[in-house]
Amino acid sequence: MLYINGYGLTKPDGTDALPDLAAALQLPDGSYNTSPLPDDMRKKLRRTGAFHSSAVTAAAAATAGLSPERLTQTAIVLVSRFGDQDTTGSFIDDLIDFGLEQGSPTKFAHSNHNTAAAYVARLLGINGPAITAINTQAAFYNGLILARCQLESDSFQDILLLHVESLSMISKVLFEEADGAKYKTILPENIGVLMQSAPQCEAACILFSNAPSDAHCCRINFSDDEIADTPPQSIATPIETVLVDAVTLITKTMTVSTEATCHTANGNGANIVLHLQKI
Amino acid sequence: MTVYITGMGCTSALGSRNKDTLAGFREPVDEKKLLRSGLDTLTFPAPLDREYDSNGNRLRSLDLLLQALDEALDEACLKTFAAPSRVGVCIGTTSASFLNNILFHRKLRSCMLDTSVMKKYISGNPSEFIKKRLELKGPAITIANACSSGTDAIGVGMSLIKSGLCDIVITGGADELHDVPNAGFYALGVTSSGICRPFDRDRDGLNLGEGAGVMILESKASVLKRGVVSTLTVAGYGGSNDAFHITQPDPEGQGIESAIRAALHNAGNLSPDQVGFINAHGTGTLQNDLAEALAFFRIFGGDCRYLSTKGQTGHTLGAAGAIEAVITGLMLRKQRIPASPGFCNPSEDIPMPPVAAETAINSKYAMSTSLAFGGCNSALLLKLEG
Repeated sequence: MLYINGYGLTKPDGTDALPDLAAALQLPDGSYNTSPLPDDMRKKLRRTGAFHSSAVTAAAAATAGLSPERLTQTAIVLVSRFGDQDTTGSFIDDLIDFGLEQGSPTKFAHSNHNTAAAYVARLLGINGPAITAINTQAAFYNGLILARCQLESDSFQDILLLHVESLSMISKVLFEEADGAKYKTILPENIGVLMQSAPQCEAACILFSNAPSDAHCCRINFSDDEIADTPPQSIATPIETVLVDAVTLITKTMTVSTEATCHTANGNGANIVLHLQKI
Repeated sequence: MTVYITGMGCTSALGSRNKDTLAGFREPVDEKKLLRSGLDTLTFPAPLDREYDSNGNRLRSLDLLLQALDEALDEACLKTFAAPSRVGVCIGTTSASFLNNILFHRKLRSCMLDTSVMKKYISGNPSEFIKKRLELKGPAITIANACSSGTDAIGVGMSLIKSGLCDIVITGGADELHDVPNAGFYALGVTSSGICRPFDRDRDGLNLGEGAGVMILESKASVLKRGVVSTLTVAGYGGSNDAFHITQPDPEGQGIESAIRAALHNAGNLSPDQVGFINAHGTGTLQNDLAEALAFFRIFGGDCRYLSTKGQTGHTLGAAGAIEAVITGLMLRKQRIPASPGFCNPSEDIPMPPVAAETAINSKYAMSTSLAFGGCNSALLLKLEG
């Protein structure tokens, strides 16, 4: 039996998005968990950017109901379409300004996409494996595949699936290029200032488990539902977000009364279907 | 469920094909073939046949990947795919996951958006590139776990087969020499002033390299259906996170120990004494080599046979785990391992030295390990069947 045992969601400014989502869904207060990041964790994030801090904030909320014993054995899967290009850009800015021999070791280390999952592991005390996957298409679909494989291998009781995207100018133009957007952003004259400003990010986190926890939300099962030649459907989420598939799953988890299904497509007509059942 | 390796391909500074790779260990490193970077560090370029050289039209990582992919597909006798939706791709990389073109960023600061670079980056996502090129419809997953990406990609590929989601998975890793990571490792102060010496007393850092390793993984049903013969399998995979430091491993090697034990458990609680040798991550840095050797000692004891191939390939980052897994498979087939390249003098802090001479082995199992930024550790167990 599989379960969703928690979820977390951040707004572009890094704060908790669940109150906004609950309000949009007209859910009463107390129908979701909120757990602001403790000060000691915030302090340990001081050298990171929004990509890392959003990931930790969402993961902390999703795991709020999990015991420390289970948390330490949890596996992490972090997916993103473009990862943390902002820290890479900032590292390269230094190389341009000061020369190849003057790069910042801190920025270089943090530019590796997998260091966001590393901060989640370090700050939450997780020693299970952490896999980070970057795919311009089907990122969340891949995350579900990876989470499912881990769950079905019976190697781990709990899997933390994170989807994190930057909303910076560079990420925005990458989204537009990858999606073949009809209208594209015209770079402003002050692009240099924008590139150096603190980028915004969104992070969603869902805790999948083989066993219920004190904070369990619903029972789930995966099924493959290959629908060939199905045109991609545009899904309306209750709040504006780039994490459409993840927010859709969180929304269904928050609102399921008896049963619900949630489809995530890979763009080739294949779907992962999650069947949700309220316990 | 048994996961067969039906094809392997390897491109590194040792050579452009599997056969060159093993032969390359018999020769000392030819310093004339190494490149000195703009930061005065030595790097290990990989040979690229003309037919794979896109002359910059696509990322060099993809050129290298295609060269290794074709060799692996040839060995697997795979020209077409009967069920494309049952074929997955899982490739590890570092450089191909970043928009790290310095000229692009220079132009951007002048308000010029070079869309050709963006297109090259987007179309250069390695797993998506292979999926499109071979007209596949299964999952395409690009692992960006820094230096353990290649090992983790093979581990994920194994789980895609075991879960029944795929019959065949094209897996491995690819990375190219690049100014940005070179500047990054230089900034971290972990590059060697000469040729790297993994596990040696005088080790002082790493050299970057480039290349690609590809493994074709298949389920037993697929192997039987296609009538192909395979003597190698992926017996186990394990991973862990140090939760210790962003760039340095846990000094006692507890994280990599946990990953190795997980791989042994995943292989059906295999006893450590059944593992014939370990192809270690062995970067040649003080911290990595010590942490790894301490973990080996605790698990495998003082007679543990291990080596690092980075003294002849350089550290190929996201490709390293895949290249080293292929090399491990090739050595397992030959039942011989070479002397650990670059090793000359035992180090006082390392409990037992790596293999110092070519050695015959008599074992069905071998392990390949990887450690990475972010505290990622992973271990892969290969088995010689029959």
